[in-house]
Amino acid sequence: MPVEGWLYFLTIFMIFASIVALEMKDLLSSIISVGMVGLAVAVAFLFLQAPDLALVQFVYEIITIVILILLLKSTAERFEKEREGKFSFVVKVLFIIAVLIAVTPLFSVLPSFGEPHMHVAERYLQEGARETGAANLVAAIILDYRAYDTLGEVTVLFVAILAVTTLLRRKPRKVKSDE
Amino acid sequence: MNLYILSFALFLVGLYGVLTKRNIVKVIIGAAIMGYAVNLFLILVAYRSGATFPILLPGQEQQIMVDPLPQALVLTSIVIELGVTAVLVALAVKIYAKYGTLDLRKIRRLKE
Repeated sequence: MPVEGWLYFLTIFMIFASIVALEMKDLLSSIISVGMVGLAVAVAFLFLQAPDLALVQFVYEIITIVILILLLKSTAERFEKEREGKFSFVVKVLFIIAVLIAVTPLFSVLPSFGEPHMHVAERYLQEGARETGAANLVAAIILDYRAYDTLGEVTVLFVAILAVTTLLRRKPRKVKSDE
Repeated sequence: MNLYILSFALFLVGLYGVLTKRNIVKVIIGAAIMGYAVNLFLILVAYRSGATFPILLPGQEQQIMVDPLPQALVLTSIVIELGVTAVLVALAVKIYAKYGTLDLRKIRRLKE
């Protein structure tokens, strides 16, 4: 089977698994099925020739499932008790399909699948190994050509860790009263 | 019906979850699905048919390779999504500790 066939299969699988994840009343089952979506994304990255991304996606998926299950464990609510809103399910689905149909013509502007624009990347592919000395060209871009971008990413991650530790601190810090 | 439209459909499924679900866990799951769809779409745009992964192997001529630039940026994006998910989960834990519920409609009041 060609790569495209596998990708169609994986994407349709992801759509079904996400619908299952959103509609399941049991929250533990829905977390597990969103994990299936993430693992399917990792396999799709392997088919699209991105092994680094597949590894990172696997790790991301495992950590996400673990922290979501920890959330369930700390709240002790296993089942979704909320009822749906006023609009019925059919109306919402019809609205989503209408948006999909309205946006579809925009995709004809994009380059067709398998023939990307390579204006910038051509130079990276030709000169990357000579200029940076890295055999992995993705690593060459992350750590050399776009190093400031990576610095920004690390800053965002640092701020996220600060936010999580501030929110989950056990004992609130004592506020010094004015004298 | 091509792959771009399918990945956009996946994005819309996530958006549906974020907009209509009342449970916070479902909203976090919807946000995660939207992230998957965007990452998948960017890597789909970068694919070149018949090309190999952008890693130079010893003792081989350089072959046709896929576009490495979106791969590098999506690597950044996945890590940031992890941070976003962690912050959302921490907020949900605090909301549950304060209000005793995960229902988004019941947390409108600020006191009590």
